[in-house]
Amino acid sequence: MQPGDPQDRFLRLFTANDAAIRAFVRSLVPTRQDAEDVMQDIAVVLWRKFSELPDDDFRRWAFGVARYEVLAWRRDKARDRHVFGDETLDLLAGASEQAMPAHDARREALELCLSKLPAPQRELVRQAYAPDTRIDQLAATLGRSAMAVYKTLHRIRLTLVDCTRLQLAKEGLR
Amino acid sequence: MKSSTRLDWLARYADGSASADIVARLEAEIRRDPEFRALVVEYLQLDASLSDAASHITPANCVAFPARPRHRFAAITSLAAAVALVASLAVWSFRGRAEAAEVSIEVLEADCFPARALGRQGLNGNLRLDTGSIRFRLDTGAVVEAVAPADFSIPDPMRLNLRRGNVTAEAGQRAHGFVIETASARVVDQGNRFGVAVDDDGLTDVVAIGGKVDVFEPARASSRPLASLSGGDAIRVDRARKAKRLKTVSLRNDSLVPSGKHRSALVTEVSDNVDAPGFNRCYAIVPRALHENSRLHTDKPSIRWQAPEGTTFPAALRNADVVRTFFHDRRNLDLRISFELKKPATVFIMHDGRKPAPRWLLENFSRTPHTLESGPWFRSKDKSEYTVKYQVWRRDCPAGEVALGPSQDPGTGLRGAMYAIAIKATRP
Repeated sequence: MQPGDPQDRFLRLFTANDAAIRAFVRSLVPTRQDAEDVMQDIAVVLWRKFSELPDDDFRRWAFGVARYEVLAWRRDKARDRHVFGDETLDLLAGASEQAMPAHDARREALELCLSKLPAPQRELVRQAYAPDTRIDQLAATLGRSAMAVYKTLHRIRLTLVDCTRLQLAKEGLR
Repeated sequence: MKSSTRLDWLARYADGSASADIVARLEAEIRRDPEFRALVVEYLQLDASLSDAASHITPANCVAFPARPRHRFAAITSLAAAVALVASLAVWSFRGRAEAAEVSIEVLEADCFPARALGRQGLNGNLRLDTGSIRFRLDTGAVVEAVAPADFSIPDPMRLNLRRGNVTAEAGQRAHGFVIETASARVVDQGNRFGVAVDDDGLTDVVAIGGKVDVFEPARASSRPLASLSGGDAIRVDRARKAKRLKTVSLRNDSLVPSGKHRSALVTEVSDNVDAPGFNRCYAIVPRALHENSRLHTDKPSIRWQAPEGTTFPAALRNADVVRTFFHDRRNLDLRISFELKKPATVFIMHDGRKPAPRWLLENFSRTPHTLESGPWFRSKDKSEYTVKYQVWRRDCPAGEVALGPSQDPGTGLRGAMYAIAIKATRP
C-alpha cells in the first residue's frame, strides 16, 4: 500500500470520518449492535464505490451511502415492529445530518464531560462500553440487576447530553 | 406527555429492551415533536461516541482486575478486513500479550467502584489502587487489605510484592509464613496480623499489629532476620536495609493507612524517651476509635474498653482519636511520652483507678466523673471476667507538644495498668 494510492487515501478518509458515520448510523437503528452490523456493510460499499466519490466531501457522500444501507437493513426487518418506519428514519436522518457540523466539537466536549463524571460513574461507562461487554454479565459482577445498570447508564447519558450542550454553548457552537 | 416517560421509552429503545408498543409510541413522539427528535438524535449519537470515548478512560483501578485486551481501533480493523476481502490485500495484525500466572482472590470488601464486585476474581498481574480500599482473601486463607494509593502484585497465594503503598495482612494458620516483599525488606508472617508500607522514598515500614513477624533482607530469608517483631512492634527499613524503631504508626481499625484523610486531624508524632537495643514498641494513632470494645494498647489486642456495668459509654469520650500505648510500659517509672496536637484539643487520660494518680496527672489534668473498664484480663473459675476500672482525666490543651509521665510514681507498687490516651477536638 503506497501513500497516495486509492486504498491509502480511502483508509485515511474513512478513519477520519468513521466516528461521524457511526454516530449517524446509530441515530437510525435501535441498538449499538445493529449499528455495528450496518457499519460492516457500509464500509464494504464505501470501498467498492470509492472511485465514484463525486467530489472531496467524503463525509457527505458517506452519509448518503449510510442512509441507503440503513434503509436496506430496515427492509430486511420489514416485519420487525421494534424498528422505526421509513418515514421516521427519514426524519431522524435529516435531524442527524443537521447535527453533524458540531459532531467533532461534541465529541471533544464529551471527553471533557466524561472527565467530570464522578469516578464510579466514569468507571461504569468504561466497563459498559468496552467491546463485547454484556450488561447482564456486568450487572451480575456488580451485584445489581441489569435493569438497574441500564437505568444508571441512561441517567449518565442524559447528564452527558446536558454537559456537552453546555460546553458547546460556552464555545458558541449551540 | 411527560418528558420523563418519553425519555424512559428512549432509554429502553436504545438498550434494545423496548416492546413493540413502546417503539410505536416513541416513534409517534419523534414524528410529532422536532425538539424531541433532535434530542433522540443527540442521545443516540452520544451513545455511539461513548463506545470510542470510553476506551480512552483510564481504569479507576480501585479493583484493577485484568481486563480482556481491548482493540481501540476495532472498527478500523473490521474495515481493513473488508477492504482485504474486496481488494485481496492483507492489512493489519496485532501482537499478542503475554499473560502472567493467574492467582485467584476472593474480594471481601471494596469501598470504591465496583463496590459490589465482591466474590472470586482472577488476578494475573499488578494491582494498582488509585482510590479507595480493597480487602480480599487468597486461596491460602490469608486476608489482605490495601488502601490507596497502593501498587502491588501477587505472584502466588503465599507472597505479595509491594512496590508502593500500605498493605495489611492477616495470615491465619493456613497461611503461616505468608510473605510481603518490598525492595528493601522481606517480611515473613510468624503469627497473625501485620502491616507493611512503602513510601515514595523506598522506605519500608513494618508493623506487627496482632502477632509476630520476622523481617529479612530481600532474597535472604534463610539468613538471620534484621528484626523479629512481636505484636505492638514497628520498624522502618531504609534503602540501605538498616532497621530502626518506628515510634508512631497510623491505623484505621487495625489496618495501616497512608497519610492524608485517613489520619488523625488532631494528633501526630508520638514519641517517648525509651532508647534500648531491640526495643521496637510503637504507638498507634487511630482516628475516631474510642468506643465500646475498642483496643487500648498496641501489645494487648484482646483487651478492650467497656462501660462499667449499669452505665453507657460516656458520650464525651465516644469517637475520640486514640493513641494506643503499650501495656508493658506500666513498669517504666522514668517514662516520658510526648505527642503533637495539630490544633487545640481535649486530652483524656484513662488511669488505673486502683492506683494513686501520678503527680504529673494530678497537677496538670482534672478528674472527670467518667469511669471505664478494660478487659477481659482473665477469666476466673466461675467464668466471670476480670476487668480493670479506670478513672478518666482531662485537660484542654493548645496546639503543640503535650508531655505525659509514667503510669505511677515510684513507691506505689508495680501492679497497676498502663494508662490510655484519647484526644477529642475542643468544643468552641
